[in-house]
Amino acid sequence: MKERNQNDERLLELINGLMDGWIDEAEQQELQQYLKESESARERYRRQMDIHAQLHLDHSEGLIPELMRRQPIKSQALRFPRQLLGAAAAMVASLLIALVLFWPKPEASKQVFAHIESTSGARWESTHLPTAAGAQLGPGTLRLIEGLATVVFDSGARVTIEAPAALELIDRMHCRLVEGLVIADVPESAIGFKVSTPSVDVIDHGTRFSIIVDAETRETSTKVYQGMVEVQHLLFGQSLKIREGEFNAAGLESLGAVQAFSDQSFGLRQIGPPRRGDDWRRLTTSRDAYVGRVFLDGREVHRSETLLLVKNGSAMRHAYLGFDLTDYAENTIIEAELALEFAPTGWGFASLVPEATFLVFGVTGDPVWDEETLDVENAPASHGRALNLKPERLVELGSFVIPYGIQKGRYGIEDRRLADFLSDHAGRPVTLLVVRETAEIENHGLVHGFASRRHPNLPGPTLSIRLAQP
Amino acid sequence: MNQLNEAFIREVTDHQSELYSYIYMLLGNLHDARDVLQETNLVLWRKANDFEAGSNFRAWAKRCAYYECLRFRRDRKRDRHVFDDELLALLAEPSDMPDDDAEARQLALRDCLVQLPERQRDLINSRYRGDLQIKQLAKQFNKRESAIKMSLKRIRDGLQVCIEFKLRELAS
Repeated sequence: MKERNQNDERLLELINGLMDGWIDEAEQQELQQYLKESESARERYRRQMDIHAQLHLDHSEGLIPELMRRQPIKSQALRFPRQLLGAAAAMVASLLIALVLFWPKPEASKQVFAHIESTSGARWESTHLPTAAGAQLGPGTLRLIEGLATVVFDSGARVTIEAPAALELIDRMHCRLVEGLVIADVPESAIGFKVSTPSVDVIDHGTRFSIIVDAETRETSTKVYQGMVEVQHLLFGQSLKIREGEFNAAGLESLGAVQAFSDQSFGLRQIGPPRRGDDWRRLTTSRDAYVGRVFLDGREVHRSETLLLVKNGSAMRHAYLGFDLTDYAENTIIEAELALEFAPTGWGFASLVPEATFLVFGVTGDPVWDEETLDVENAPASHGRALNLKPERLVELGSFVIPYGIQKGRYGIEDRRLADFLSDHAGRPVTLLVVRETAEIENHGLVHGFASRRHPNLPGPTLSIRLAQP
Repeated sequence: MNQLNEAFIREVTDHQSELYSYIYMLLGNLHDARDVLQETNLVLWRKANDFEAGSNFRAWAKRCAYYECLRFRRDRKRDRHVFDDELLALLAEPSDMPDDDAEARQLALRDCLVQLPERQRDLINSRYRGDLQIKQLAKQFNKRESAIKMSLKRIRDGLQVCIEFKLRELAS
């Protein structure tokens, strides 16, 4: 009897290991053996796995997240979906399935007016929509969970969707951003192109602009990079013109004012084009890597071969950059600039990370690290899984800020301290560390990423140094 | 949409979480389970005409889901799978409780959750709502990883006991 209890304890332990992702291969074999041997073990396993799956569904947004999210009783719905919503949830679910099942086959439909030009790391809410690059699209809603996708309308308007986002395609000149972020490039052929949101219609006058719809507040932020757009409030009909370098935040019941980007809410400068001149040298990383990998169900998730990931939240990630200054003599560097090309990672919610401050450190003491093997155990400037920094190994060289909701662009530092550090450490390899100082507001905040030296089309981390004239 | 279609869609939607749980049980991976569920839904729809109204939808749908799991594993031969085909077949066999009501089980689970002591409920919330892993939980609760593993195991075991108790209570 005692033996059976011990067996049951071990079985339970292995099942829990599978659920929590810490079981190794030998233990998987052991679990398999237990399960093959007795039906009662299998029944135990089925029950435990069912509890895990149900807890997972109840605590996440379930299998029908988008539609549930639009129910006004969201918070209760998440806690007690069946009890409170009951038939309503079932009907919503039916609708969703009906939508999925009756989605018009694109080749058969005459109502095709757009196509997916490209995708990057895209994961969609439903696999039944035509979502591969090149897919022809008619009316319907695209729901992007991860990554990026660019949709080109037959009118010529090009709309890039950044996950998580839901975009309803209406016709060749009109779409509706339900939530999330899009960037639109509208050529002359599509002037008048309209993006509706829960609070406003954004009507284009030939431009490049971005729109963010907040999933919770339904507020719309419109930012114009080039040209002009008109923003018309749905409820009041008032309209505003927003020009290059300006943005507007409109709520469901207010239109808000037009403000310049240089305003606090977008307060930061992207650094300019690379510095040039005879006395400037440009160096790319000789090695670069990030630490803080994340495992889920025993499998590494949220990884990137081409981006260096940086995060400060329930999981931490830091990026290490190595530059080879062997060919430069000490005390000859008088100015320096570090440029990083940020790109969307598709992971985490931008809305959960406020304006983000990044710190750049120089790592002292000739750190030894290797691109292939760098991990939390051997990272030179931090200790432990929490990546607590070792202040005695670090010199702060500068900081930069990436605005709320922005995931791409060229950012970096141009700082006296950087030049001094490089000048002092010239003649050998140097290591810089990039961390995000700003923590996310809650779990699942955005993972920032910038191009590594392995990125196929974005420039990797670049150091520009100005040398003293001999 | 005719009436048969509507009834069929209702069956499919009513069994979503049960099918998800079933597929997860067979594959041992939540992400894969979600993908296979989507594929299964499509297969169910394609085969809607094979389904005879009034017959056991659950058994039929689970059979389809099982074949989709096999297909999924074949398509990803090179990935390491948790179990071999022989065990998969054993696991897929319907349990000997013919009238096992998945919805009653879900409701019982929610009741049992409410009855958990606060600290245990916090741990479950962090584990599932925050999707935190053992290491992160250890940090958050300032406990050793082994202690977190042990707590989760005890809580889940307790939940199973509680569910069975409630279901028996309901049946009597």
